[in-house]
Amino acid sequence: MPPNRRERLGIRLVGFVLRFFPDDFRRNHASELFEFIEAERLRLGGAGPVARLLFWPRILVDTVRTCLRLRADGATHLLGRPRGGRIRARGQPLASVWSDLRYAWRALRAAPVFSCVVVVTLGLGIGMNTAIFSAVNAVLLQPLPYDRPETLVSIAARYVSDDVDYTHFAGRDLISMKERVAGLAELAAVTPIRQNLTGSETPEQVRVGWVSTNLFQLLGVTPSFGRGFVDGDPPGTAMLSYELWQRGFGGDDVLGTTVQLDGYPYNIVGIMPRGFQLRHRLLPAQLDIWKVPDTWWQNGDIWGAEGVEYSILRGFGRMAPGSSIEALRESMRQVAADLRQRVPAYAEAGLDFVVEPLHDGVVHEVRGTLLLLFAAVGFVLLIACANVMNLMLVRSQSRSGELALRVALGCSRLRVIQLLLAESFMLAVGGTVLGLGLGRAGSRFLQWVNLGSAGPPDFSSDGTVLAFAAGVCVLCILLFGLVPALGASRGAGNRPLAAVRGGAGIARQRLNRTLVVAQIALSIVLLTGAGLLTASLVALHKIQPGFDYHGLLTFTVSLPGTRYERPLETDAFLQRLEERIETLPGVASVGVIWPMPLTGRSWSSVYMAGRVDEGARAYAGYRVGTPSMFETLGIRPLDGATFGSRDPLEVVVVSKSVAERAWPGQRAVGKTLTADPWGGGFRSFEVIGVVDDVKFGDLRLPAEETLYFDSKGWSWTDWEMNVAVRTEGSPESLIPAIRAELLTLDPEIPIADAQSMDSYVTQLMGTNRLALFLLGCFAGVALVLAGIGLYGVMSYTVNQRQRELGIRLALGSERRDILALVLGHGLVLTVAGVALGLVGAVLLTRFLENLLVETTATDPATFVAVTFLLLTTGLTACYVPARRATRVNVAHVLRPE
Amino acid sequence: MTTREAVNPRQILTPVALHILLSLADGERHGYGIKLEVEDRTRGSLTLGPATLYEAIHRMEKAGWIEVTDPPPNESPGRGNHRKYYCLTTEGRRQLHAELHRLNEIVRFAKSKKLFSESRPS
Repeated sequence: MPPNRRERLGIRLVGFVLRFFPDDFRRNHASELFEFIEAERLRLGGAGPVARLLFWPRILVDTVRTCLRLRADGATHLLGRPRGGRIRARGQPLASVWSDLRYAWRALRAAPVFSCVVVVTLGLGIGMNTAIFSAVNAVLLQPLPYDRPETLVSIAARYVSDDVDYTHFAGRDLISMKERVAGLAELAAVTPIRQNLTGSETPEQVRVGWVSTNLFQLLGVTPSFGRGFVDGDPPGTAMLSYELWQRGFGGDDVLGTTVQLDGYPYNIVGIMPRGFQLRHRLLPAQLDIWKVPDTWWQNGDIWGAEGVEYSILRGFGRMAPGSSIEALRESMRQVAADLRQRVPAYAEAGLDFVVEPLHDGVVHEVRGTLLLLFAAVGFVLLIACANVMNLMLVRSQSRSGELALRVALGCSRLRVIQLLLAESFMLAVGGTVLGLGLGRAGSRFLQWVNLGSAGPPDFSSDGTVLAFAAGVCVLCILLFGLVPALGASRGAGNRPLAAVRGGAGIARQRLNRTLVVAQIALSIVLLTGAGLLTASLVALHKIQPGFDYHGLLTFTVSLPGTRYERPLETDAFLQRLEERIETLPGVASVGVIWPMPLTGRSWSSVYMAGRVDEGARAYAGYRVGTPSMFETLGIRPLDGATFGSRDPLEVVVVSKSVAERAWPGQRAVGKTLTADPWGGGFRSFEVIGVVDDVKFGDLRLPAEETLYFDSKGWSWTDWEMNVAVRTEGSPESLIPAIRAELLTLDPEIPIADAQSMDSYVTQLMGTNRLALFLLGCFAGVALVLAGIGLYGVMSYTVNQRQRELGIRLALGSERRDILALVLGHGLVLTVAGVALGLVGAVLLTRFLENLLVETTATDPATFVAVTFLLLTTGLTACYVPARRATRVNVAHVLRPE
Repeated sequence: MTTREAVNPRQILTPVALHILLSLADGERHGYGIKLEVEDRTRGSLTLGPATLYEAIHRMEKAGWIEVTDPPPNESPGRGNHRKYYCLTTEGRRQLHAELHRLNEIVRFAKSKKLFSESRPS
């Protein structure tokens, strides 16, 4: 009987407590102890409900008590004490701590508003920190779920001359690395393709990975069922992901049977573990089927191909023991240098290899955003602590009489500090408990919105998160507890009892004010960050991508190379598909293009033309599509024509930026350029048209130079072709009709990735929007907290100065003057905070720069708006206490005591 | 039974220690075996928690009262490959005897005062 969830928790808790046992105990008895528990657990099957309910609590209590006993005395505990237990002497630290805690508890219960405000403030601060930390922990700190993940590296190519930072490499390159790089114990590669899972009623497009047979061994991942690939496995051997096995086969026993991909059978030898993902910067998060490379690509010799056009592999490596990443990089540089010498195309492109720890590549996209948010919540916590510290200062002020009395009666300064710290401790623990609850909810939310694009791991609170929260709790106690405690204990001894009831100490007032100024400054920094992101998001929405994505439906089809002879049959299929869909009601036009703008897929290569010839080669995005793609996507023609009846193999349409770069001041139409879209070597194309620039990739980047080729004669198989449909109504409502049309054309070709372009664009802005939303929340909380802090200090000051204000009124000051006096005082604090904060913001917002779009990190409008907002908040927070100051009852405050 | 001078009347064993020593008196046992034997012998009035048991074992090992020994030949290793068997050392046996002797003295004294009859356990 395997343990259930509750029992697993119990076992984990016992394991946690065991960490605090003496080392030799753990070494000698930990495994025996777990076996004991396991034996008891199994015996529990026949026990009654009460015994079962009490089982884990009993074991835990036993473990904790034993731990305390083992830690408390080193002496033998086998012998009893015939004269009864020793009673702890009075005044021993432990006894006094206990009584202090009880005293603090009573004192806090007597001041419920104060206690609640502090606990809620701390809870908010700690909760936000825990939530963000749980994301940081899960995404950045947790090791990847492979064997010895710290020795795994990812390998990619880059083309220095062509300005390509991170891309694929070819099979021969892999062989060269294997032969030449001693620092790599193992090396494997993957390339993803799209195929159709057929043989069932509704075909499904799946992501298939061609893999080296040693890939899973390299990662140290063993299949849940069956076996992994072994050397010599023939093409046609496949493994399924757990998810596809469940979804497509209902979890039936499929080992030894076949799966149909585009009508061809593949032997299933194994099922990968549930949730297994191959994490790499250049791979989709989820692959459904893994297989040995097929014979129909390069005659199955995927590892023998060489050259830029055959660069389709993503590499994984395991470092040899004792080798370092620097040594590895050095040997890879050598390999690249040799390849550049041997292969002219590599020399022209400036081939080099990028080796980085696998983990770095995986987290590369989200690291910046996460660390930014982590810093922001850290600020919120500081503000919260400052607020609480202010409250504590005010409170210790009102208790100074009591403390002075204690000191006068012989209480040591240490004991006074201990007493005050006991209170801080209780508050911090309360805040931490609340914060853990809020943090849990927060981390669920973050997981729900999928922070961390490449399928984040589980965000659940584990030991690390708990330890983090405990650490924050201790930090809070020290921050807001120790300073007031030290101050109060110092003050308590030095002044006569009678004097204590007067005004606050100068030093303490200064501390109050410093805290408020710091809070305002921190809020300014946060608000500026949030403001800059808002400005960016607004700018992002205003960006014109160069085509009209509203009302556009897009989906993909993948034609099997085993049944479709390219190019004639695939061309014919795409043409028929366009014709069939065009007849559907609600469809304005249809076009095929690859890659579709904004879907994250890209395809780039070099070209030579006009002025470009003279200098280095230029790099352009290549697109292939049917003639109707321009009309369907709404790409504006500027000059010449688009594809027509001319021989499609000889013509090209270029984007405005290509025309301007290659033939500045001249007409591009009629000129010739050289390009190599199909990997068969460079050939000449005549420019027949110029179209407007389109942003195919990141909206935040300038539009890429683009060459459009006619797909006729070049359409592909085993690859997703994007079909774009311009619709007149709601794009998604057409999906069923299109699916039906497709099935009549070929019942084994499914429609995949059907989505409106609007939702793609929304996704694209997702990270920015989420970062903005969270930063906005943090800034909002910070503003409120700073406002409360300012209000608290001003109210307190007004209370302290009542007598002075009364005298002023009695001597003839106008109530208006009093208002101005108090407001002016608050304004000085606010302005000081704002000034400091603006300096901080200028220094810190530059870390935001890579999230900003068409907004500079020192955007004046944002800075002005934030300053205005804080001054308003500051004045509002001061106004209420100031009004109260004008209503001071002169007779009352001046009455002799 | 003439080890009177060896017994320090101030030194008494805790019940847990006494029962563990008793349980090991007739041969080696593993930790869980000790627990089952004690529970059985005391008819469930003394149940040992895992940490308490191993704490006592840990301390007794350090004090040299018990030691790890080979498992009995008829015991199959099976899944309990972490199981260690313990047996009494000479010192452990001496401690047990001293405690039993002390208890016996008390019982004798109580009987002489006719505090309980021998025939019926209370």
